[in-house]
Amino acid sequence: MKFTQEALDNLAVLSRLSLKNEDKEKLVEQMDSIIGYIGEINSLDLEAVGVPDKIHINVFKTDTVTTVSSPEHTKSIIQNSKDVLGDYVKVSQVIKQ
Amino acid sequence: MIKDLHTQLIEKKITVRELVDKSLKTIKEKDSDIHALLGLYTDEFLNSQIDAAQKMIDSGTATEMTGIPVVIKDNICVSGQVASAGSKMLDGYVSPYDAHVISELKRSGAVLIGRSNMDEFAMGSSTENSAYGATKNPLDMTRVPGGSSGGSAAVVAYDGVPVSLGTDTGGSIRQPASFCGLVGLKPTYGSVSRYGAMAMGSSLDQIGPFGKTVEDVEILYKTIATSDTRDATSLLDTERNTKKTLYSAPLKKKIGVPKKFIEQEGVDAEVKKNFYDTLENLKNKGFEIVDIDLPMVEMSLAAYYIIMPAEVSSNMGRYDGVRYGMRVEGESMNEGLTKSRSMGLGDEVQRRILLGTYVLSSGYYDAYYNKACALREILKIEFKKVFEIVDVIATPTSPIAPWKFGEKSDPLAMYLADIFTVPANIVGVPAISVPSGLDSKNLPIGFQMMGSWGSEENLFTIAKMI
Repeated sequence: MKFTQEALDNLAVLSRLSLKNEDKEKLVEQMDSIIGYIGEINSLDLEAVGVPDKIHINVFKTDTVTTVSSPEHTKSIIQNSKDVLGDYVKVSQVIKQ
Repeated sequence: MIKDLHTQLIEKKITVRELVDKSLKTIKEKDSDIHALLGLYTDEFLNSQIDAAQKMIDSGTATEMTGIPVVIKDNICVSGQVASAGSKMLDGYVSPYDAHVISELKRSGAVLIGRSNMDEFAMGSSTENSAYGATKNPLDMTRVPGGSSGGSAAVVAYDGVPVSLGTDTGGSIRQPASFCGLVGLKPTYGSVSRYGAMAMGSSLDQIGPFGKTVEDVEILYKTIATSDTRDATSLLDTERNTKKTLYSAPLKKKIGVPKKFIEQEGVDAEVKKNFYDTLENLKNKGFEIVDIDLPMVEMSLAAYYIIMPAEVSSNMGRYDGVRYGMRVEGESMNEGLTKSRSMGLGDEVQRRILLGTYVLSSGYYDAYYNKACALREILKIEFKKVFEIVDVIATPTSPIAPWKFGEKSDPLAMYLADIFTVPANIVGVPAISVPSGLDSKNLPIGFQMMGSWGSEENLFTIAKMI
């Protein structure tokens, strides 16, 4: 199945990216060739080789919170935000009236 | 090299400051042409490290790394210093904390000099994707140094520092090591904590060392490979000890060669010749060369370019312009977020986010992502079986020699150059690239060995014989 510009536009919305119109044609072409390549994986008959049932395990142990919050810690973390009010990060309005 | 410098420091033939100054002088002379570094750390930080290292030497508490200048890839956080991951998105970002590897280096008395250039957020195989301009290969300035850790490789290659740190998600340490004539190690998944390294593909990423000799790489690796509770995948000390015992057994003296994998289309004839010559050399040193079959290994690259972008699309979600990074205002929160990401992130990063979003989207998830994950488990079983017979699996590091700037403008062509390095990340085993000679154009060729999980010691032992 050919990768279309419509599919690209949908992906851009999901990815929170706004693509320039002049870049789209080339991007569709590139995505189509990459998807064609990775699609080779579909030629694999996994049933025939036998799929192991235990998959998707990446966390070796449970997370524990070790950082003790302090005013200095907060300050050092929010110093990288471009718009700060006191100890808070300012953002644009999320819900419109 | 590190051992020599260590002796000179201990015998007071040279001071830490003199050693660091020598390093800075070389960088000053060479880096304007090569562009391996994105910046030096602040003078205040440099001076405090030099003083601390000299004190350790004077008081007899020095380690082998004490006073040794080290360069750090720009995606590893150093407290109070800039880390931009080669991206405009993080231009001027100052880290509020140290990565685990940085804490370990500071503890060892190493002197962190500066941050190295890289493909943006480690996405690329040539360092051409850096938002701050490409790094040149010190061995041939018309060619790429490899990537994504191209800066970390180049600065060691031109003798700016003896060792450096990079990250490797699909070959980003081994391939630039090969392209710059160096030794580079991708440790076992879980061996080095990624706490403080900017995540790209979390089930694949590892931090690792570059050096001119296997011994230097080994010293730096042992300094950073310690347990850390802040990375959920970091191996516990007990697990490390079990592995150590497992591999303290004598070598089988057998090297596995997946012939079909190496003989595939697209592998340069000179690279292949050099590979077989290196094997012959090892044979003469008492190793048996064993033909092995890894039926699914050729599929690893396709699996990699599904799993990695999937994880990229998720990991890059944090760059929203709110808490850190580039911020472009919009009418709404969503518009601002979209604008910040579109202006802050480069083409390759955006392409991988889109690709990851594609393979994870409803309807395609089973066809791509789940299938790639299943293939990964099958590959692990294949590798496990082979490691019951052989000590290491050998391949060339890269199918081709370093290419010229702009030669690989098609993304897929660039991806195909990762064919030999991605399997180690997919299954999580350690892999080392060792220089194995030059081709007819005097370009370096690298020899790669993958070992079983936790068998870094074996890799060092065999690599020293090449």
